[in-house]
Amino acid sequence: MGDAVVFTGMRVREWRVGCVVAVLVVSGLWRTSTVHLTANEPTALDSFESAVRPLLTEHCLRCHSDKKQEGGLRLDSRDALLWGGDSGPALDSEELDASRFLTAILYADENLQMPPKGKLPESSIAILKRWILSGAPFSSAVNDEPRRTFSAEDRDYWAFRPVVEVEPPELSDHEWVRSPIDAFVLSKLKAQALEPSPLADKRMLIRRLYFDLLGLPPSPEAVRAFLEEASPQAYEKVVDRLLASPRYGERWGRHWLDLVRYADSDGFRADHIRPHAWRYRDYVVSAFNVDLPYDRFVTEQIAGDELLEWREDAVIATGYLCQAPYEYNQVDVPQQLTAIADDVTEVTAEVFLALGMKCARCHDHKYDPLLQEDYYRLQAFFTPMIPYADSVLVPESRKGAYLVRQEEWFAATHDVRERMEDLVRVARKVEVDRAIERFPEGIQPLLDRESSELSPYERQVVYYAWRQVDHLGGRVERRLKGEGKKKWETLEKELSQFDHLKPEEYPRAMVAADIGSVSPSTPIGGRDARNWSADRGDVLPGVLAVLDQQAVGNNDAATITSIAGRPDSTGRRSALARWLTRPDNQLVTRAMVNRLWQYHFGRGLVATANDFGRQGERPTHPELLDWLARRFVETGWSLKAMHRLILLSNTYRQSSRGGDVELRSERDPDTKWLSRRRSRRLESEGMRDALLAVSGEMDDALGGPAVTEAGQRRSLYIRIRRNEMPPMMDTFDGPDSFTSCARRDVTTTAPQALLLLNGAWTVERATAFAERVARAQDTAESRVQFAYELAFGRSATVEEVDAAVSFFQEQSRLVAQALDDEVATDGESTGETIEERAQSAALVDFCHMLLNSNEFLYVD
Amino acid sequence: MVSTPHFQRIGSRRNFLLQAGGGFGAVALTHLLAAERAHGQEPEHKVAVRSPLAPKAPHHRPRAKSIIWLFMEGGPSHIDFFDPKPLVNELAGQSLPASFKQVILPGGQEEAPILRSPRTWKRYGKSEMWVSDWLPHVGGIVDDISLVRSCICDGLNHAGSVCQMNTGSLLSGRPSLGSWVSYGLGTENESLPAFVVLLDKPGRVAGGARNWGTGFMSATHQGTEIKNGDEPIANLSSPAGVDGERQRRKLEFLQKLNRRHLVGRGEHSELEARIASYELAFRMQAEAPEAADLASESQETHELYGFNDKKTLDMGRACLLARRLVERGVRFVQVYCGTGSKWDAHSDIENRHASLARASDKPVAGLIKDLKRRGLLEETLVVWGGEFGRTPQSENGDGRDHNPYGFSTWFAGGGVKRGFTLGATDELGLHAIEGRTHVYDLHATMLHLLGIDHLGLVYDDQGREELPTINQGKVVTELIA
Repeated sequence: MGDAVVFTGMRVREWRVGCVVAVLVVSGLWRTSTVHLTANEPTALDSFESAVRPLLTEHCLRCHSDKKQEGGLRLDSRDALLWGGDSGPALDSEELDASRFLTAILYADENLQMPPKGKLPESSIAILKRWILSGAPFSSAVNDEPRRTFSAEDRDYWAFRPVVEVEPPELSDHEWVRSPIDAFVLSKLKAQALEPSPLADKRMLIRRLYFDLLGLPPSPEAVRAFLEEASPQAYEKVVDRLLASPRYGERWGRHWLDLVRYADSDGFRADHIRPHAWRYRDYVVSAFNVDLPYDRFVTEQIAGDELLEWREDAVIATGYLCQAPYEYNQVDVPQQLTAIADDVTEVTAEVFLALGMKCARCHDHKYDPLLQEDYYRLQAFFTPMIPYADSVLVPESRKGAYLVRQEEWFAATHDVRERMEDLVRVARKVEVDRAIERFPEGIQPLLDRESSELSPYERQVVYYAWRQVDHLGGRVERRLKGEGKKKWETLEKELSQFDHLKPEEYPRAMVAADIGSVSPSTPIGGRDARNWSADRGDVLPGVLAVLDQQAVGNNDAATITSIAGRPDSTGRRSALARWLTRPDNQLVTRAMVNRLWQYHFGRGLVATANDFGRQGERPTHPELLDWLARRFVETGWSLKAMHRLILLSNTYRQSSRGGDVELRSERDPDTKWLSRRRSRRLESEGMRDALLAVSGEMDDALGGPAVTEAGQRRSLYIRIRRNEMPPMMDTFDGPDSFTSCARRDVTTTAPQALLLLNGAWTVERATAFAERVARAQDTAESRVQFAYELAFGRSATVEEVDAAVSFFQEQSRLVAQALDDEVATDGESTGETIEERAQSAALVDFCHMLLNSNEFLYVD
Repeated sequence: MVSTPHFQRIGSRRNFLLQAGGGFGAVALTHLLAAERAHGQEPEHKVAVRSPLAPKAPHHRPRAKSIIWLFMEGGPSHIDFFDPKPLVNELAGQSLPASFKQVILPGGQEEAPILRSPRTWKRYGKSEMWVSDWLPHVGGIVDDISLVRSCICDGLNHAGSVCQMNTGSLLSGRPSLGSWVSYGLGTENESLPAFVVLLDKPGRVAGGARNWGTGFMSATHQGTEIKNGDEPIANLSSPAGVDGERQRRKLEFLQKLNRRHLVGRGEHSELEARIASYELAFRMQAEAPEAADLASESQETHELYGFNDKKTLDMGRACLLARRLVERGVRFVQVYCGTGSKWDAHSDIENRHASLARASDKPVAGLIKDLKRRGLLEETLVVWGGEFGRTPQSENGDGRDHNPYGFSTWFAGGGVKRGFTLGATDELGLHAIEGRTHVYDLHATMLHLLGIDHLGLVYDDQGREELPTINQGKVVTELIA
């Protein structure tokens, strides 16, 4: 795909990037920085990095470190504490509890109170007190110096430890344990003196499964069939049926799109539409539906263009690498190149490794053992890459024929095209010249050079620059008016007579490819945008320094080999993919099973799914996490197998209600110990889709170009314009599509209520819902029943029917009165009696409120 | 104060809602059924549950309660308004002397001749501040403002720079400053949004609504656009044909459904919060139109803001509405002037700037005067400025290009010095050379005046601690009175 741009319809000038055929094998082992263990590391310091250091940094070091020493005191090493400040040592090693540090934070002496702005919360004080009383050990100095070595604590941090095989806990014959998952969960519950909640009833379960797996409510028929099936396998069968539904991919593909910040537009001011972005979206949906093994899913997205066998879908998968925002008129091209490289580096770290690397762009990470060098090691895999906005996906085998055919068409249409060009030639030249002149001086001369005279980096700069020129120069024909326009159209018709000579058509997509077989360099801290040819060093691709780089698996990443049949690619991304998909990659496997868990339960075993670092949360069930990661690889990285495993557990089947409510609220308020099912509000898409499903209007076509929100397709297909999110998405916590979204927020705001209560679109759905109910049922009572079944997946109780019917009656009376007045003034009549109109209006009101109710918006 | 109160651990919102206990649904319903409007009454039910927008204590004594930010979108030419440069006219027609540090410009005409500025200048007020003939009314209020002539930002283009001016970053994805303020301080009137955006004319700000979005922060704090007219906030009016009584009954029925649903789900207080949100929506429905009702102001006030002139009417309306909003407790009001980069002037700067100056001069001055006479200026910080300034070099013969290397911004009220000027650009107004003030510094200063320490306000973005100015910026203490 290196020469994909040949097919991108450049109209202005012929230019080809990436046609340099160089066979240079970049191979060999990359060198690591020296990593050694600090000797005599006390092992009792488990909490220093995660608990103490953040407190010191936050509350003390601004005034007591290298930059500033209030009272002559520094608090950034144990020695500094012992040395103390103007009024003596902060740490008394003989009598630890008499240390002045402790006196100060306890606010025990009114002349010595720190921090001065206010006493710390008790919980923080407790941590610091324990730390002082244990002798105030520092695992390393807390300062701004780059940290080039790792402590034992760093290397033994849970996220970097290998995944281990864990046996589920043996529990004395507990009947609640249906799957090994339950054994892990139950043993933790017991440790917290908690009991699981009762199992959910069938109605609760089927509604839960439908929304969880398909993002849609179950139909009344589906509910009925499930209730009627007495077989013990009834539940399992529903799970399998739903996993086989194409709606499953639509629902779960959306989770992935959140992570990769998918959008149908560029962002920035123009926010141009990306007409081909949807190919990648459909690829993701289909990958979930066919249960594409996750290792292949990862490989295709990272390096689908470098696979030995060219496959259209794998190439489309590299759309992952094309999701960064793009500014069509950024004349500071190196700045844009840097922004895009940083973006893909950071998102890749978050999505696949669950590591927040942003901080390491400019300096070694303050809390995690991530070096600035690590950031650029990761970036180096992507350095040679270019995200192409519009490529024609001609299969490798057909490329030759395609080009021949295209040349034939060019030759045959030469005259017509020349006559067309005559109409715009002058204007085009003006635009193109102007576009070129806008670039800084350093860039302009590059545009006249042959590709072979350019360095790999300059070829990237030239690609981005030409893309801008092409955009500006390519729009002159649209400005033709009057006679000129007419002539153009006539010639277009003439041109179309040669259409039979055109090469066959192939899909177009956003895909990534390397600029050539040699990568530009990757200097630490990024390239100097003003003086890009300056040699600032070159970091070679590789894995995180904290992982043992000499270990067999990790060497894979550093072993870059050229790819047979891909002379224009470096093979770097393939090397990354090989490392990411190693069965023993602890980061990738844990990250993904944790995501699955989070989407099923509303909270991951690690609550911060994009950040397993110290700033994130610790795993609540580390053994279960490892057990799942092992099973994931064992099942051939099958997501559907993992879904089954989780869904069939009793842990998943718990009710959201009942049991010892008080105890749970006290010991497990945020359900992190899984003592009950957490009810969850529908996400924006689920809400909109459920409205369409209940009103009976959903158009359930699969895939294809993005649509407007006015229609009735599933929300997944609505065009996501970065600068103007569809109101439903925007109001109900949709992802911002600029950054990787690991978990949707759930906010509760007045504008949400206004949207559902007064929004025209919602009222239309309520009206359609009411019409559907009225068509199907004749009496007020049966209408209430049917509406309940559609909206809530259950029948209404006698009291509920009564309440609804009396609401009907009152509301009809009210509407009839208003209509009476109206008729009296306007004298208008529509064939329906006032009573009929009032009754339909009342039914709409009733249906509308069902759609606003918590029972509709929340899933137990 | 330390940052802990702002440090939302996961689930903490749920926790305090939990503490509020059951029974809130009933309170909400009671209020809902009472047809009275909350406005003007004692607020026993105003903030019944501790919502994420409930008022929070600042870090230090605030100098201002609210901000009105007059955003001149597109980049007004500082050397034609507040920063006179005689050398520009002396060197007009010539290229930039080599002694000036070269810059990159989006239009690429770095070598184009310097463009003469036909402005005439006058010293105004006791402070003897220079203001050009384009802003005679603003000239009349210079003794109330603090002018910073040495602002800088990082972006060459509109979208990036507008985004930076709002969020600190050239790239979208971070919360707007107004969102940080809403997060840090909450609001004193929950019937109105804490962060409001007004546009002088229908249009699209460069980068769109993202500029007042929350990025990684919870959407609770996003800016709400308020428009002139009958429906100032989206979806504020009941559906067509549904009158007040019918709407109330619908809501009453809804809350009955919700209360029934709540039985046995007392643990899940998000459900109660949602019940409350309907009550709030109902109140907003009643109060927002009142806040947006400019007709209730006196004719004299209308004239002060330029209502009597078609040219100043739009900006006048926006400025008056801004005053009414801060008066009602809205924390952060942004008024876009020249919505859709209208201050941009790559050619024909004379006409483009003249008409916008004409449209905004009197309303802006009127706003300051009106705030002042009502005693509101002391507690309201007014900020005037664009995303960047413009170059001394010409572009396309009679325009000026973007200048992120040096430009002017001014402050008024809310604890800043009066009649004060800070910093300087070089002799052509190309580079800020003295008292260089980055966007981060502007943000830090604005937050400081509201009582917020820009390095102490922390938001936990799923594990990553985020600060409003990305760990950068310093308060421009010279400006503070």
